[in-house]
Amino acid sequence: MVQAMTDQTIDVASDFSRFPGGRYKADGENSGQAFREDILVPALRRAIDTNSRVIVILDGTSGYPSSFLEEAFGGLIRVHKFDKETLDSVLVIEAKDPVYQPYKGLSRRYMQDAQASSSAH
Amino acid sequence: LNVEDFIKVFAAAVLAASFTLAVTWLKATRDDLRLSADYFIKVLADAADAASAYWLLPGTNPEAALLGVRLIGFQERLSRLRLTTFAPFRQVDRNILDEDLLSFFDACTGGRHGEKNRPIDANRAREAQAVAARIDAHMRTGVQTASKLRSYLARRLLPVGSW
Repeated sequence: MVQAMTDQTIDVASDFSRFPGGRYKADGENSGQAFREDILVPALRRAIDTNSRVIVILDGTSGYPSSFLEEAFGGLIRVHKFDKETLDSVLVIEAKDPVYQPYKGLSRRYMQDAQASSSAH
Repeated sequence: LNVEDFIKVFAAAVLAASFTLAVTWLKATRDDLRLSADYFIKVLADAADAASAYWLLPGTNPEAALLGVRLIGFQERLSRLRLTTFAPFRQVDRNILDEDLLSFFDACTGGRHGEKNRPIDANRAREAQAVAARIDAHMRTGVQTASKLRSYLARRLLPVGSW
C-alpha cells in the first residue's frame, strides 16, 4: 500500500526564479518549459506515486508573462498528457497575495483550454 | 425659546446636517469611483498601445525587447489597481471584468511573447485593443451601478480576488 507523503511545495520565486519569463528553454533559463520539465513534472510524478500533492506558490516574482504560464501549466496536458482530473487532485496553485490572483486564474484557464483542445482531437 | 422648542430645533439641525453630510459623502465617493475607473482605463489603454506596438514588431527588433518587459510591468500595475478599482462593482460585473482582464493579459504576453524569433502577430495587436475596449465599456457601465459603500470600504480594506 502506498503511504501518503507530505505535500511538496514549490515556491516559484525562491525555488525557480524571481523573474520567470519566456516560453521555451531556447528563450532563456527561466522559461515555462524549464519550470515544467525540470521542477513541476518531477514533483507531480512523485506526488502521484505517493498519493500526495504539489503546491505551487506564485507570489513574490516580478510578474508572469502569459506565455510562461501557458507553457508551464497548459503544457502539462498538451505535452506530458496529464489529464485535468488528475491535476485537479494533485496540483494546487496558490496566490496568497491578491495581486497574483490573475496569474492563478490564467494558469487554470490554460489548463482548461489545453484539456478542451486535447479532447477535441 | 423653551426646552421643547430647543430640542425640536436642535433635532432638525442635526437631521439637516446628517442629510447634507450623507449627500456630500455619496457624491465624493462617486467621484472617487469615477476617478479610479478613469485611471484604470488610462493605464489599460497605454498597455493596449504597448501591446499593439510589441506585436507589430518582429522579435528580433531591439525595441520589442523593451516593449515586452514593459508589458509585464503593465500587467503588474493592472493587477494592483484591480484590487481597489473593481471592488465596488457588483459581483456579476467583477466576474466579467476579471475574465476580460485574463483575456487582456493573454493578448499582451501570451502566444509567442518572449520568443526571439517570433514573427509579427497582427491578430494579437488587434486583440489587445479589442479586449481593452470591452473592459473600458464594461467599467463605465459598472460605475453607474457600483456600490458607494463598497467603494468607500475598498479604500480601507483590500478585497481578496475571486479565483
